[in-house]
Amino acid sequence: MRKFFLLVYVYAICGHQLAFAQAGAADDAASDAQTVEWSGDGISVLVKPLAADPVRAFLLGRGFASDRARRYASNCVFRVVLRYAADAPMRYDLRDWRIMSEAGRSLPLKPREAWMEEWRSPPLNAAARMGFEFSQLPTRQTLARGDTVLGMSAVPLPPGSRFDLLLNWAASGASRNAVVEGIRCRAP
Amino acid sequence: MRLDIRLAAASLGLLALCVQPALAAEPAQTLTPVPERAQAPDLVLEAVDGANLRLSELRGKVVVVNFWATWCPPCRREMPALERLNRLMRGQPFAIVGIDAGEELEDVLAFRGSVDPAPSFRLLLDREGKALRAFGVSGLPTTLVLDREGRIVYKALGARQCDHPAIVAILRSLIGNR
Repeated sequence: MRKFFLLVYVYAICGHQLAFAQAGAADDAASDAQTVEWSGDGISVLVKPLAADPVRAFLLGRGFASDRARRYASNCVFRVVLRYAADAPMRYDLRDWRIMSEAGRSLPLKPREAWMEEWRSPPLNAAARMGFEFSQLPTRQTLARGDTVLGMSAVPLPPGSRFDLLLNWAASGASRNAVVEGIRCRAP
Repeated sequence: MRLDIRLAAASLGLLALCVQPALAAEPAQTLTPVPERAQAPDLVLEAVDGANLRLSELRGKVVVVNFWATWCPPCRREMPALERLNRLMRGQPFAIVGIDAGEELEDVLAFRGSVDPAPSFRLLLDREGKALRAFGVSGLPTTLVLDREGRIVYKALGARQCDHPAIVAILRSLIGNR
């Protein structure tokens, strides 16, 4: 029996460590859905679908009105963590990324600027504006070795939908792309 | 007893296997040189301890400027290492300022009280985002390093182990290069 408990304890610790390694900087209470990972060319991409309630709670905590928090969280919201480990800097633009739904629908990702336009009237207070803006995946970024960027993104798909994330970036004068496959939107 | 020792050894081995991927996932502990070496914006920000700080008052020191928020998990995790760095560099022409993105004084104070070691460097409030805009920050955490002339010479996107020897060596070299 002691042997059993010792092994359970060790596996529990291992599970925590592995989960930490996979989720990286982006752990939260809503993260029991499967993280999907892609890595290659010195970049690693982690995508973790988020449940609606913690997303709403986050926005309400930043000062969002309840209807706006609900509207954002009714999308399929997921967190992206990009880690970069190659020597040549890489540059991405979220506006070039797309998702491909199971039904074959191709959709762009909505950058933070487009959301801010949607929240323009009535305007958000400064805390809500900055909380929202900086919780979203940056629209454009140049990463050097050792850099990590992370943030949320949202696509208008219903809970339980599956989709692939098609991303691209430029490094060393060449364009590169990747597909993160099989991301499943969280149930509410 | 022999069984316990074998079990303990097996457990440690398993733990080592588990810890390895976690460590492998850690980012490289380095800072990225900024070739333009632009002069940092000179802003006045409210410090959580009351007095305002004009950033140019720190001229003559190497300054680590860390942009963060209490709701940002990697920012929270980075804070103890920043404080350890602060203690390591005590007595040298060096300063750290943590610029909070858009939160209220009580949020920052509550967080500071929960960090071990608690930050003793200056925490500043950027309630309207003017510092974030002026420095061109688009994600959190972002860390910039200013040389003793107030130029932006290094940056880091995402959290770092700021008291890592490789980073400390870069900062000491900047202190020496006047």
